[in-house]
Amino acid sequence: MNYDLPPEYNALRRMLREFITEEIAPVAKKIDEDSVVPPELIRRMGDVGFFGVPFPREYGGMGAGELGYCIMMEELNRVCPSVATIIGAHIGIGVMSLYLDGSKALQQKYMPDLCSGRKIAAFALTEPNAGSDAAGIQMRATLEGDSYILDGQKMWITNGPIADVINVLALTDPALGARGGATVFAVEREWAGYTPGKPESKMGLHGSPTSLLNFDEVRVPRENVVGQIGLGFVTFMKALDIGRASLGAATLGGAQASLEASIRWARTRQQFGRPIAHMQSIQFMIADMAAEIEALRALVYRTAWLIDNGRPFIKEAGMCKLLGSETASRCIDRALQIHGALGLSRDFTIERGFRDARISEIFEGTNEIQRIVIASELMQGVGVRIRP
Amino acid sequence: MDFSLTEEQTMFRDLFRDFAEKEVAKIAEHVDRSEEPPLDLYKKAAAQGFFGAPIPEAYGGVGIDWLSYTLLAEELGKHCLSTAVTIAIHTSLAAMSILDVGTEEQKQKHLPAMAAGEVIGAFALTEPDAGSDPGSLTTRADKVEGGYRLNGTKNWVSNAGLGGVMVVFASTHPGARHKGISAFVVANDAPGVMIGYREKTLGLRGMDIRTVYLEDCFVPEANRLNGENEGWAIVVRAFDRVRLTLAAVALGAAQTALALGVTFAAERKQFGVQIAHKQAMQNYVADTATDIEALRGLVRHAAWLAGSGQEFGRAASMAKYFGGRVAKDAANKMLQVHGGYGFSDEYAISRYYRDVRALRLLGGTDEIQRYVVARAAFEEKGLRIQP
Amino acid sequence: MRLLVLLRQLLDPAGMLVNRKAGKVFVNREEYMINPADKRALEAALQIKDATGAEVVAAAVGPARTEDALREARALGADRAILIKEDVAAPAGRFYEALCDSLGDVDLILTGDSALDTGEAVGPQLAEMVNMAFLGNAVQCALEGAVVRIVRRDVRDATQRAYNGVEADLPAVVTVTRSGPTPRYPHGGAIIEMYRDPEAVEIMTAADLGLDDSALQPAVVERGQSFPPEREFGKQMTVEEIAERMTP
Repeated sequence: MNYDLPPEYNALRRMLREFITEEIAPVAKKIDEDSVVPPELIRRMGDVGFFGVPFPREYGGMGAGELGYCIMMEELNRVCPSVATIIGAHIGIGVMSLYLDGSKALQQKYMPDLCSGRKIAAFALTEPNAGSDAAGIQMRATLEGDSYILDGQKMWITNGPIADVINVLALTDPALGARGGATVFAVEREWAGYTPGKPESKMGLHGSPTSLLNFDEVRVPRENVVGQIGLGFVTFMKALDIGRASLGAATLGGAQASLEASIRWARTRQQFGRPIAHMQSIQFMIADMAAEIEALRALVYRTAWLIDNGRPFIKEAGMCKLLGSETASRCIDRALQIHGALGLSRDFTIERGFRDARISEIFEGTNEIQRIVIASELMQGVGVRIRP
Repeated sequence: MDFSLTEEQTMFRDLFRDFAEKEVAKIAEHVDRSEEPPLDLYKKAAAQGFFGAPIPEAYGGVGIDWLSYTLLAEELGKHCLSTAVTIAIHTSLAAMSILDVGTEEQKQKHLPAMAAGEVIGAFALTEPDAGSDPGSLTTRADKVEGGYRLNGTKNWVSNAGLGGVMVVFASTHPGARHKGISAFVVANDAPGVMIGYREKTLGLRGMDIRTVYLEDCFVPEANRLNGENEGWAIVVRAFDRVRLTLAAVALGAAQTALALGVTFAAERKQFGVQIAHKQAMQNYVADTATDIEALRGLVRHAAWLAGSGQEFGRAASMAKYFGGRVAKDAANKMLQVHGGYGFSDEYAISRYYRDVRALRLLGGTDEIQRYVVARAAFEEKGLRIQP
Repeated sequence: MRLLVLLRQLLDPAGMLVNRKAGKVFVNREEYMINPADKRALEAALQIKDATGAEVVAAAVGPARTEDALREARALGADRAILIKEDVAAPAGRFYEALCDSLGDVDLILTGDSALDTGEAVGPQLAEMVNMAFLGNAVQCALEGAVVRIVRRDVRDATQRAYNGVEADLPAVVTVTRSGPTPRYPHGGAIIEMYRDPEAVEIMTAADLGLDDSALQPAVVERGQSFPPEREFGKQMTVEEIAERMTP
């Protein structure tokens, strides 16, 4: 057992933390208030490699694997969940589906721009009637000569309004349904018939734009099929599985930020003549946070190790997302409680953290779905096949 | 034991419910988005007597009993927490403190206008370094000829910007901690009062919560509530009242959250069925409904204690502490039932999620409520515990 | 054209806690960083590289951990990195002098004006030792042919807002202050690459540089730690008090 990170990852974390502290932290509040991430910041992050952490150097990525990706998500979400969500959707599911199953030509065409952040990716699965039940999609793709014609609507698409390359799942064979009859297509923003909707108004993650996507007879050349015809659902599920581990890493960063803020406040805030750090109610909240965070950290980095070493990881990735999002929610709730009514103020970061944290229990498969995923993996071992 | 409401209480509840459903529900979303206190709604509510519900008729109020008053808070809390908490603070903290210890002259002077909603009351206790611990107030009231001169800063004063009166607490005997506090009724526009920065908050965005600066503010002796250095008793009883009222608000909010979740789960289809058929959803609903009924029991019991003139501080703390948690858990679970829709501003549940969080902090944090409950338990053993 | 950048690695003060009562500095997190002024000197060198294509060689003296600073320099864009692996508190000047001899044709040496921890400034003496021109306290630095130009704060100006420029013929030693060019961030992929490349940092010893034992003797002996007296809080004065003080 060796719990030390390889030295290159410590160096990477140090650089990322410096960048995030110097360049992102000062504008995080403004990103929330203005509901937009400055394009200049995206460009500078792209130069450092934020947008391609796990992908090979030949595509302009960092070549840092899942471990590097988890480190980046942890550090980023510690400071600005909006930016972390943009990158998480971009790397974790958007580019990932291209990287996992896309043809060499398709990867060479899109990945250099995507890994450098010059282009942003999105992953379009959810539809009005297909949320947790992703197999219920209805969007159609009809073969016409050498192209497919895409028709339908996607909703709740993270990065929707800003994405340049959209990996979208559509039914190529409605008779077979999503499992066996759905295919992933890489669609470019400029193509006729494609229009992203206006950003949704949300409780939190204001800087991470989410919208409807309309596909009105969008013509997609055959070479933009990602992976095999009919196996798109598998591609998307694989990307989601990997994405869950890094989402766990992000929640780890959020929880850590809650703990750090709580410790600082407990030391400064005086009530009844002494710092509230001396109150057991406060101490126990801090101790519980720290213990839960440590458990989460162990799980997240072990899962990253499983992925980087080609071991089975689906159950563990689901656990990362489940445990991580609930830990982060409990931690920000305790941090708010420790800050008292001041924590409700939008002048403190706790308030933003509270709004931003909640979605982690929902997106990329609700926690109920994660529980089903974990239980399915466990029950499979004893020959029971679970249906959601 | 009879758990039913009296005929009169039922009548009041129907009246409150009718008003809340017809008038309050429709403006709640706008109040949250615009962050503006709904002054027109307050006029309508005042016309119905809701700003002076428990104030005796002799002072222009309606004179309803405690239980009916909690029903008002509950019904308002079902639809707009900003409105419910604004009225709770006005009534339970400000107006009822004057009713509690004011001289006949003070009552005649302030209560009729407050009951009519023409003057909205605030309670200026909290300071930057004295939140849960009011013993360490730094606002000073120095005795001068004919009255007092007040200097200091109060923050998180709810309703302060709505133009009315404040019950201001200041130290008249520095060093004596809570035994040296006195209370004064101060008009918002009195010389030396500056209504400052409005807090931007997570929820309750229709509330007007502000910092108040007192600079050489002269207050005549006639405006002192209760005796000199006897302000603490006012604080204790005001907190008891507001805690019970906020518990009732929480009860209302939790019920709406549950209703929103149940409606959604009955409509939303995934995997070919309404998600109501999924046990995970059923558990959320059952847990929430059970919590709500337990909370209702606590609130009703505390209201009965208060209404029958018994000591109700401990029961109010329990109800407030439990209520804050129940409302928070209800909103949290029902948001989860909504899935991604719950995170959207288009669905009311996200507003409830932000709004109810304040109920675990206002009127004393959870930690303080538990201290109050534990203190009562140890007092029976003759032990005086410290927070 | 060859540029030599001398780096020092020091403990990151962010991980330290000063306890005055105990008279001790506690190191909570033992993390190291490149001396901030040195990092800006490296940035100045990299900017010259960007403009002229000059070769940038980064060098440092220290124990094995000093490799981290040099790998970072490589990730930032240095073409070579040399670690003189000697765990001594010896004056680094001897090593640098020997390194210059060993490298040959060094046109410009850049380093920080002083170290954040010890305040040590090697630049001026080193210029004498290697017989090069010296330009100190640069906030900007550029090459024009065989001439190096720097901009530095004009110490004659009391407002501290005036700058002046000076130049020297190469070869020269230039020291850069902490107000020098803002360092770039390395690409994360370059960090990973430079750590995984076993040859990213060339290792040398005193012996490799032809230095004998005398170069390794400590110049400083640590006898303990002491602190300057704690400053008292300022006192807020009333207008009357100020008026009283000002009245002669």
